[in-house]
Amino acid sequence: MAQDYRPGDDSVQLNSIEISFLNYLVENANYKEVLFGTSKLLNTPDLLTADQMDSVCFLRGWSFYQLQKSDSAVGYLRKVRRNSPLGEKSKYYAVFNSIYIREFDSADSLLIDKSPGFENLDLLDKGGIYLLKKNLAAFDSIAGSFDFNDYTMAAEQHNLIQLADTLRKYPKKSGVLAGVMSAVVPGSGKVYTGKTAQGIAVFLETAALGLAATEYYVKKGPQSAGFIVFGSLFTFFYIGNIWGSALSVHVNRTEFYERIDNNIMVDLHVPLRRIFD
Amino acid sequence: MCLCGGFLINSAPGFAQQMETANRLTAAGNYTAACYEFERQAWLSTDNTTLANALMGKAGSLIMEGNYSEAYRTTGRFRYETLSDTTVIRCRHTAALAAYLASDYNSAIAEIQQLLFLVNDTSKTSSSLFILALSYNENREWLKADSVLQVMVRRSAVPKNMKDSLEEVLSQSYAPQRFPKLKNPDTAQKWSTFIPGAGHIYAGYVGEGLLNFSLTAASLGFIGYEIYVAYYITAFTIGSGIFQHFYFGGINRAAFLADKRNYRNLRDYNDPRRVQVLQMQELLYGEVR
Repeated sequence: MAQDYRPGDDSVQLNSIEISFLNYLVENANYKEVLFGTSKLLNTPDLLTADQMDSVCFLRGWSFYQLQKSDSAVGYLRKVRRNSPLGEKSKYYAVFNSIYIREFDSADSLLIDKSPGFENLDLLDKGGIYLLKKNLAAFDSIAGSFDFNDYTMAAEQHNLIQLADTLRKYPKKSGVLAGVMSAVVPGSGKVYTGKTAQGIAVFLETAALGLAATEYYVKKGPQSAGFIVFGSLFTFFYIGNIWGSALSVHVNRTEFYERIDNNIMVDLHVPLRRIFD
Repeated sequence: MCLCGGFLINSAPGFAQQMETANRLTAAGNYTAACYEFERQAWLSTDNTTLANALMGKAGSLIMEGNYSEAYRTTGRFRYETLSDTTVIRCRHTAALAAYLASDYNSAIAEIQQLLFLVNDTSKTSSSLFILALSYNENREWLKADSVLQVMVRRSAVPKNMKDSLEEVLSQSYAPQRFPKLKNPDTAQKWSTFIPGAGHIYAGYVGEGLLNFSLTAASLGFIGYEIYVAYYITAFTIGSGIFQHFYFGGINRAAFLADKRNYRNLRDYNDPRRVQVLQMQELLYGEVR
């Protein structure tokens, strides 16, 4: 348990020196060593004052964040007391890391506790969460409060609104329709989903096999080896293409959402660096 | 003989005990703890020599751990102003070794070249030349590697008869006719464009070349047969499709095989050279560090 500073306590002085050293390690991007050093200090929490505990948890959480271990980063950044000098920075980086690992409830719970002076950042984070959840109506209600006057995040506020528009305009394509189209004209389902080159290639392959099978059927009949081989291959490609077309709607949508989500995360990240670094 | 040894650092008296602790941790294989202690010495350092010793210790620990790129990044924090020649040599040597082990051969060469430029006393720099030779080898600059090794032999203190025999060994090992014959991937592609499979054979894969030639010829035969039996659609669609797969696939495969052959030839030549260079270093200048 963390305790208050007791004058004359040598361990307080020693830990203070150790924390200065840990700050030096962070400045030199030696995050692995910071994890080593903070784990040693956390082995004896009773020897840390409350402020020192805040510093150690912040440094450990920050190092996890830099090493892209967001789940661990959230745990330690959340331990920093809000009234600490590192409190607001820890809170908003904990929010960002929670969003990154898609623990939106955890991020929301942090944002419930308001921080005076950070209202715009709260709105930006909430807007980002709604966009990531693809809840455009809720995002619109938040975006209506963006004032675009804060230079640290005005550009990102505009970006989020543009991303919301992009999401709105994304055509809702049907996997069933893509499959039906490919059943009628092989490859057309792929063209419908936006993969034109793939659609043309599939059409040529399937048509070639179909024509070859037809030729053998007409000239040698349904018992001929040529018809059986090419007919089987045609069937395999034909059915595979119907399934592939239906699936590609889902794949395209996933790829599109991933691109949008990455952009949202960038727009939530950049203001943090501007405000706290 | 190992490139990872010899990083236990001597230091100024005020830091001796802490450095000793860090060195012991390195020797015990506790690299993270060692790096932590070396960093502490770097933080406490009040002069560039102590900083350099601490960072060299950390780089050594990272090298022993196998984290070569991080070791090289650490050596980028040396501050060379006011360092003695001896310390500059050790710093540049450590940096060059870390860069070489991280497969960053150009940086390794640059570190040793700066060392040779900054320190005029050749007796102090000769023991670092082997890293330059190894790096030149990997960069396929074998004539330069040979020159460096000749210099290493000439500058060493071994008897003249041994120098003569080493120079003879070098002249044989680095005879230009023994250098790997590197295949040009573009040439391989051109060969396969005109004669299917010829690019494979040019790259040294005779069996695969003959197979590619046979399959391409068979697909042409299939087209001919289908035309002969008046199955024109099958000839045009399936036959030409199979032919294109073997023909164009063969062209691309020829370039890949040329690169594969080059890699194998390079390793076949360079791996024994690496052993040879390290043995020479040990013979001429003692333990490889």
